[in-house]
Amino acid sequence: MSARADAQLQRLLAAFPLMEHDPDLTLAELAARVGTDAATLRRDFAQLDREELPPGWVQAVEVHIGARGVSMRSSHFKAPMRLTRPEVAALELGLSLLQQELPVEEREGVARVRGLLRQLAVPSVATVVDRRRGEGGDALRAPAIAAEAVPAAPPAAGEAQLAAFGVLHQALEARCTVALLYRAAGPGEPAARLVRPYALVRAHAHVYLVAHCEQAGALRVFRLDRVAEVRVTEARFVMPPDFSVESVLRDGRVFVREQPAEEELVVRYAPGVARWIAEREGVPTAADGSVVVRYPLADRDWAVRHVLQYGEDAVVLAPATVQRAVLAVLDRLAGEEGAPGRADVVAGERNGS
Amino acid sequence: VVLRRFGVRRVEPFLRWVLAQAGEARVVAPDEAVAAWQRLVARTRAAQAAVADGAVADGAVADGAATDPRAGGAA
Repeated sequence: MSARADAQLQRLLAAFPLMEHDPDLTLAELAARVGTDAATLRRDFAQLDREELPPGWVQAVEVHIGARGVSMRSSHFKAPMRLTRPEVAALELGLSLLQQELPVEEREGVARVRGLLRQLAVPSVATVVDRRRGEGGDALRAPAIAAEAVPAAPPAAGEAQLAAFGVLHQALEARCTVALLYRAAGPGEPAARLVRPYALVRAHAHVYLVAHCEQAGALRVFRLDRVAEVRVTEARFVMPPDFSVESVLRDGRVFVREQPAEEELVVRYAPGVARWIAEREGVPTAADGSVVVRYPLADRDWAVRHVLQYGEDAVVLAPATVQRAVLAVLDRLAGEEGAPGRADVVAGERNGS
Repeated sequence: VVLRRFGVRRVEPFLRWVLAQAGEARVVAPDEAVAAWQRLVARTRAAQAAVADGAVADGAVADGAATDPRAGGAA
């Protein structure tokens, strides 16, 4: 990790607990507590997905920047969770000690928990660890895996987007209406929008503006990478006293298009992950343990990535266009894997994180 | 093309994360991880192909509906 990424990570790790404990801190106050300035922290939030930061953990973090403060939301603990064998062993040890200390009639409950715990272990990891031990290696040292990425960097906020982020944040704090030139999803030229900025949200690799759109007469969400132009006007607005970015995002209503989505993504999740999906989406599981979820579909790339993250545990039931897109990616990956010399591009290892 | 190395404790979730890059990343070393990656791609393709080919009836779609804000994209 470069010195710059390291410093960025240090600032984020300092900022997140402060945001969690005091969501009323403004961006400037938060930046001062972290020991930096608002522009730097704003850039840190916008670039949460930069490739040098540890993969995986930032994707589940949402940052909400409102007129009244900066807050965060994490869905880390909603992801399907598995435990490694050492983790299971440690928990089992604690439970076995507890079991011995309990009266006989209460021990059965602990025994059941121990049985459930063993089911959470990841067999593939256990296999790796066992093999390394057999070879005389360090059993706790994780295997290093090299991945080849094309193109070089994951989506990251560009300079234009960062500039728009800064302008919109200032407009939000000053309660000034903003004129946007916005490129909506799908074909078509950018269109002019007059909006009242209520909050900025960084979530799922994008920064969003939550705003009242004067044309639509309702709340709308705009992706900053689709904003072609932003201009602050002199018109002031009053923030609705009951506005809450958290409730807006929880309801999800403003994310739908002005026109009803023509397509619907239907995904079936296998029993192995269905429990967590059902809990997250608030839908019942079927008799076979699977769960089917319907999503309004506006971003096909999102749909493909979303489904692929679950491997064979998620399949697209509809629409056919997304089914074909997922299969095309898998066909391409399967074809590339046969290329000679690919597997020995790099070999190495380092201590696991 | 950029080569990155990761210290990985749990292989399967990591491979799924790579798969979620939708073809923009793939595992190239070590061999056992490459083999696991290939198996994951093959299993995933087989599962998706079975549905796309109609092997699984669309009638399996339940009534439960949910919305994900991120799925809806932006205005």
